[in-house]
Amino acid sequence: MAINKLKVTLKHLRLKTPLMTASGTAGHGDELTVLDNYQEILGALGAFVTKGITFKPRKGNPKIRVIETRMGLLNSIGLQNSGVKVFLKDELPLTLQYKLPIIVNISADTVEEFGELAAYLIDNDVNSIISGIEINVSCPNLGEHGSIFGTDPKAVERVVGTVKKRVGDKVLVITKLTPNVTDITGPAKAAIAGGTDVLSMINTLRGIAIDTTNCRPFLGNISGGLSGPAIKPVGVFMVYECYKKIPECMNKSVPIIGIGGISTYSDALEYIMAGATAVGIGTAWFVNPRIFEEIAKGISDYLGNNNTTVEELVGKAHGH
Amino acid sequence: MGIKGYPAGISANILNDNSLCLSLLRIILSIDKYRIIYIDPCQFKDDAFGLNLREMNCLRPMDTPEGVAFVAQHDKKKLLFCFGDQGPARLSEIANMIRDSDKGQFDSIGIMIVRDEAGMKDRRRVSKADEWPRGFFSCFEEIRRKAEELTAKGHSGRHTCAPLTESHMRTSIMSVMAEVKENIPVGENGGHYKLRFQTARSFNVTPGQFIMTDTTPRGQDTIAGPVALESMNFSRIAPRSYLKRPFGIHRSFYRHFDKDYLQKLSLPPALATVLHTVFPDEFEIFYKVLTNGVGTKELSGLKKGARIQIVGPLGKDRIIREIRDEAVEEIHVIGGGVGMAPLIFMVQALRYYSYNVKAFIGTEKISMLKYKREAFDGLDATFTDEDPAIYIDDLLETGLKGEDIYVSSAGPGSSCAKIPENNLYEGFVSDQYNKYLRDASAGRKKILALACGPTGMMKALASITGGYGIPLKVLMEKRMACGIGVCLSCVCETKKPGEAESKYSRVCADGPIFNASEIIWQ
Ligand SMILES: Cc1cc2nc3c(=O)[nH]c(=O)nc-3n(C[C@H](O)[C@H](O)[C@H](O)COP(=O)(O)OP(=O)(O)OC[C@H]3O[C@@H](n4cnc5c(N)ncnc54)[C@H](O)[C@@H]3O)c2cc1C
Ligand SMILES: Cc1cc2nc3c(=O)[nH]c(=O)nc-3n(C[C@H](O)[C@H](O)[C@H](O)COP(=O)(O)O)c2cc1C
Ligand code: FES
Repeated sequence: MAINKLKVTLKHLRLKTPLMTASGTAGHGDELTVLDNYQEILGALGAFVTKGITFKPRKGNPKIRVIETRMGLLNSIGLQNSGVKVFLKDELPLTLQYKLPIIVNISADTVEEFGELAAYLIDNDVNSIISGIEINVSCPNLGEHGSIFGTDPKAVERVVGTVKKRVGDKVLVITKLTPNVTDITGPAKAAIAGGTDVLSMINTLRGIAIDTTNCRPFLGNISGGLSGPAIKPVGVFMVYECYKKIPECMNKSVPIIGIGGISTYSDALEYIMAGATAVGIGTAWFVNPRIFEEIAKGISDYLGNNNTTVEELVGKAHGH
Repeated sequence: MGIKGYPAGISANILNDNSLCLSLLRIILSIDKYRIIYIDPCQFKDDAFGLNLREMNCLRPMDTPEGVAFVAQHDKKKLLFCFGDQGPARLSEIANMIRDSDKGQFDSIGIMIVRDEAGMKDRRRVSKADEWPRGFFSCFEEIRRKAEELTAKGHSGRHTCAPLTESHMRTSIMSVMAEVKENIPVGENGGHYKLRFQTARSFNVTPGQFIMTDTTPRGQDTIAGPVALESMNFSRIAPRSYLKRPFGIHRSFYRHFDKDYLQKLSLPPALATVLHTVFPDEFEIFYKVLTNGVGTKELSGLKKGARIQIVGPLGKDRIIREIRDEAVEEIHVIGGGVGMAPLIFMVQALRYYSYNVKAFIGTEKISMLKYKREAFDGLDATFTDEDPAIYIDDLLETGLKGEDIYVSSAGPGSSCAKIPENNLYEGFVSDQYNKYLRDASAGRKKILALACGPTGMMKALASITGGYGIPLKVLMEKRMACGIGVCLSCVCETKKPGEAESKYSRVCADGPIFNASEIIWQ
């Protein structure tokens, strides 16, 4: 594999490939090591993004948590996690063996809690294991509060600003945006004003599926977040919009991580051409455990055939 | 001095090791009352580890192929042990001679002893099955552990096993291509199917574990890009599945072993814990086509020769070890509907270790279990007593007797000549099991119950077994996305003794088998 054609940088963070796990879809310990293609996965990934964590442990949502919809997956996991303390002590050290840059995805109910959580992570990361913090302002499973942050630009700016103030330049601050808005550039600009280093998009789209045999919504939490191929055009559009309308995105001083429905190498290239420097892959990985190496190979072949690099392709769809 | 058939130059150490191995095996074999009736003096060091070759019978019996290191016998059962470092040609010659002289009776079986575990794993690969046809494998390390454990326990623990090494505990999860060998309807209205598939590589799945499978053949790309309107196939507007679907393994098949080999095989129980077959590479799942089910409908349309990607083995592989560790004497499996399917695979393994098993099958009616050996469309079939029935015939094939099989059904259409009339029951399988426990004076034996089926059934069984002090383990089923423990979709609420609060455990990675007492039923 022509690995140096695949390499990208997110601000100062160098990645050997543009591929990342999408938060919540690859665990946060050493879960990958049980797979027979573990080494291939690590070879194909540029960074590892952990499952979302919160300050205190969260039990997660009851009853049915996932339901398949056409070319998609509706989930309401409810951020089940063992809290930041157990995460730092027992889980994060295991992830080290992947030898990949680690990005920790964080969630909270209030602005202050976001700040506390980010500060706690950085202060207790004595060996500087963490390369980046991804602020999840958009988890739709936290009742009303979660959506308020992600859809209200002012709230986004406050959350990002608070986190940035607490962690400074020690790690990359990434803001993960929700697609459940009319204009994605609003929260995107707000995150930039708050000082985010990188934007990632999209998180899941809110949806409901109803079981017609008993006339009730399938999910215990009633609504959930939609992921998978069904949402890909929405994600590509939002990346495209931000790249086109926000100068910091176009000049790559605030690079974009494109996420949502990527299942093939050409899906990944679409995001890159729309303006993403790196891409996250989630749900498709459940369907095919070899997706990362297949996509890396596909991109690599494409680059070879077209004699180009990933960095040259970023934003290519905009015609310059 | 070299040894016939062995590579030259390593003889001294090998002879010593072989003698140690024999002395350890004698400990294990004595538990099962096997006697050593022949030893090849060339393959051992005399006077090592209490071995005194002059006292042993060194005259090779007529029916024992040259190259066999020693032979143990009990009644008419003979075990012929062979060291694995002879050339493959020599080994397969030995195995073929044993097999041919035995005529499929399993009165004489060949056991290849491999030096280390990694080597044994390699030998067990399907691609090497022809090198040691219908034979078993063991390795020095396991023999040593077993013998040490037996001496430590003063020869008492019949089925227990030494603690596992790390290499033992982890089998990696594979994604492999599989070819559909057969996909045939079962029962009257084609609502159930059994699907047999062969994996491209050995697939070491143990009872209780499951797989996630594609339900449509895999194209070049997992998901195609945009399709031009004129090339669109409008039948495709019907929903199509996206995620893989989880299914328990119903049965597994081993190269060179007939599907009913367990009827004849009776391995000495102590030795059986260190004996292995070639890895299986053919498997069967038995599934119900759900009324609104997208994936199971697709699955039922798969034709022979279709290639699908499967992921597994998934779930914990500890159950057989746990059963041995707990020195269980009798196992009751209770299955409701398709829930019985994975329990058949469980019984296969338990029978291999010579456990007493009683099976309780809950079905709508017995004709729902029947199928035709020849292909048929499933819809208008009528069945006779001659037609095979899944579960019942599967269990008989594992060597269970008709009287060990109990069937409850909802109503008429449930005659079955293969099991005693008294074992048929009209009603819920949990009620039949309750009745069985009430009638049987099961008191003294150490019983374990294993159940899989609808939640209501398992809940009822939890309270029934609780009343008799019988531990119950259940196979849980929840909607899954990843199957490997990373997405937290498939949780059930559990509370272990000593834990202050309940939590959500992952069925795929922490189960799917749980102690019923730890489940918080909804
Ligand atoms: C560990 C395990 C072992 C299983 N073993 C068997 C078996 O041996 N035989 C058998 O017939 N069935 C088994 N099942 C149930 C089987 O997975 C479902 O019936 C099947 O996934 C339904 O798929 P569908 O596409 O037809 O249904 P749809 O309703 O179209 O499926 C939509 C989604 O819901 C999931 N789903 C729907 N029903 C169930 C269910 N009852 N349990 C879990 N997920 C469900 C599907 O997997 C899919 O992701 C098992 C389930 C699990 C978790
Ligand atoms: C089961 C599941 C759990 C998720 N958990 C998180 C999470 O904890 N934090 C987060 O920011 N996003 C989470 N997501 C969203 C994904 O990271 C991703 O943005 C989304 O699934 C779209 O990408 P995909 O279509 O490739 O899956 C989760 C998604 C799924 C399916
Ligand atoms: S299915 Fe993903 S954790 Fe069990």
